[in-house]
Amino acid sequence: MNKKLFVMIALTGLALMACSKKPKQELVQVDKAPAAKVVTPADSAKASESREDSLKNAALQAESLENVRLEGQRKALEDMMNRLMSEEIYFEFDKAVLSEKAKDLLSQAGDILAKEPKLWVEVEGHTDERGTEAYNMTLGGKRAQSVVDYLVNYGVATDRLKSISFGEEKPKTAGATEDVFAKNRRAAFNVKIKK
Amino acid sequence: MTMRIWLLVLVSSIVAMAGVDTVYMEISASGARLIPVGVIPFEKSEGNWSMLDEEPSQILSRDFLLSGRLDAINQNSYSRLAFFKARAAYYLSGKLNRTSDGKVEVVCKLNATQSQEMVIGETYRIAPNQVRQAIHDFADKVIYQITGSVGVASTRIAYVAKIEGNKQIKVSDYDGYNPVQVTSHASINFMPAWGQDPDKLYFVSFRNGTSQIFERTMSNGDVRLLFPNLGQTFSPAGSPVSNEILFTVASNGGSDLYRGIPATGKYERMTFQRAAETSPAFSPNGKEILYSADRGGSPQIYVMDRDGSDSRRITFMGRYNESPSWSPQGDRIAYASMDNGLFNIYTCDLDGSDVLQLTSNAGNNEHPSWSPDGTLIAFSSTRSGSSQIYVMRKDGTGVTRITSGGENSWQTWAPKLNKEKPNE
Repeated sequence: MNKKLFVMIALTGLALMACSKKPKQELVQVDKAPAAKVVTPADSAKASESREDSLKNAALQAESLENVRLEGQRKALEDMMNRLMSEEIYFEFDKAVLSEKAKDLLSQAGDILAKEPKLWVEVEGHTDERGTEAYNMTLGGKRAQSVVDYLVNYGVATDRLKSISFGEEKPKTAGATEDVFAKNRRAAFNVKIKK
Repeated sequence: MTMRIWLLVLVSSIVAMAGVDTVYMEISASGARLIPVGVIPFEKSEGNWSMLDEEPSQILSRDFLLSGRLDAINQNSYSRLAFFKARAAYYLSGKLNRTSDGKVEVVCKLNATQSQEMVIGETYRIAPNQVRQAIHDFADKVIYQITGSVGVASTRIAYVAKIEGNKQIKVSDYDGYNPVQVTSHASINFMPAWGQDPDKLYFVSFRNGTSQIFERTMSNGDVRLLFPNLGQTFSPAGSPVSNEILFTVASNGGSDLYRGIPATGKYERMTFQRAAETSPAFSPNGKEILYSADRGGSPQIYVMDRDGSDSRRITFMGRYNESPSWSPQGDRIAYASMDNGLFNIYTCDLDGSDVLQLTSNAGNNEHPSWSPDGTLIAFSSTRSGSSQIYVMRKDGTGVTRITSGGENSWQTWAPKLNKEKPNE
């Protein structure tokens, strides 16, 4: 990502210096948010007017394709991890131990992470509403850490994992039945793309 | 008999010899020994009094009820017979006047029932919205005059209120009146704690995506992030004797306790075990620290020296004991114990003995917090359906609700009166 971005900016910069007096903001804009820019046909038509613009657009297009692919992978991984942890796997009351099934599914997540070094994961630990807010902050932390520890042992680098506890503050479902409590004793995942 | 007297003399002399520490004269806060005081409606001068949400006599009666020491004997006018029947040796009277400069003059008097002569009196010249404050001030003076110890009618509490789905911090008078919302960020804001300096309120917020401790200066509304390089921090607790605070830092597979100075940003780690330690609370002299730890699998209450040494377990009854709070007199510990998913408030001696259950069969009862004079315990309860804040005497009697509507919890009593600017 960084390398590609650098090349792109360098090319754009060279082209700009060589033949035109485009305002400087253009360069700043590219520098700022290349990933967010979506290339439309209208854009392309305008861009074909000059060589530097088409160079820039080729780079942008490649960049945006890679971003789309990465975003797809990120979303797929996030969905999978959230499904496996919050809909199929629960923690027992006052426990942070992973079940065999959770380990199996986390291994699959570990495999995807191994293939996609640009992705990293924030693991949220949650508890049900029973217990004090303070103790549940520590319990949520333990649950998130159980997941992090497993993935680290599986081979994921520690700097690609971050645990965060929300204690009992962000229940998935409201209510005070055993079923609701069980759904709320979970780990949730935010899969992110490395900047 | 003689023996007993001798013992008494002996004990008294020991206390006298150990005179370095303050010896507290215990005025019983038990329901049976409330001191009756007559209260009659205040006279009012001509004019508009619609800004009063309650009559001064109602405010005083509530202050006496909440004091856990006095019992208001309400009469429509002075009645020697009724006051004497109720054994009220004193009664309160007063007058409200509008002054020409738009202010209110509040005249308060404590009188002897027999002679109708004034014992103490006070005249306040204040803005119309400060009548409650003036009445609270006089209530404390009456409580001091009659019981010999300082009341809490002019104190404030901080608590957590659910507003538009988010937990926000509010500060109100100790009786729940004059609430001011002091956080507004649309994230989780909770765990308020007062510093020794009542101008400093500490709280935890997820506004940056993770839990962090913030310091709010009440007088100017400034909010500052504390200890930013420690990761996830929570559970702040102020010191009664210094500018230090205690707090919890999430660690791999648990949490640890730290002691830090918000003013300098310096901190020190106090626990090093692979377990979850949290909910720290200072002793009144700042030398020892109560906390909870799950070394045995579920949280129990422990005590250690302020440097983290000499840790010993206090609670052994019940599987889940949390939220310890040390009484201002230093003699009792209040805590919440969970059984079948519901909490109740308990107190015990410093060695865990003499366990006293203060709440039962009334929903979930959590977050015990001592009043600055040590006679009352504020707590949150779901006994009326939603979570609300209540105050009770330290023996569990005289339960009085002080908030209504919405969800309110996690109240913590400020050390003394403080003025602040609304909102951040």
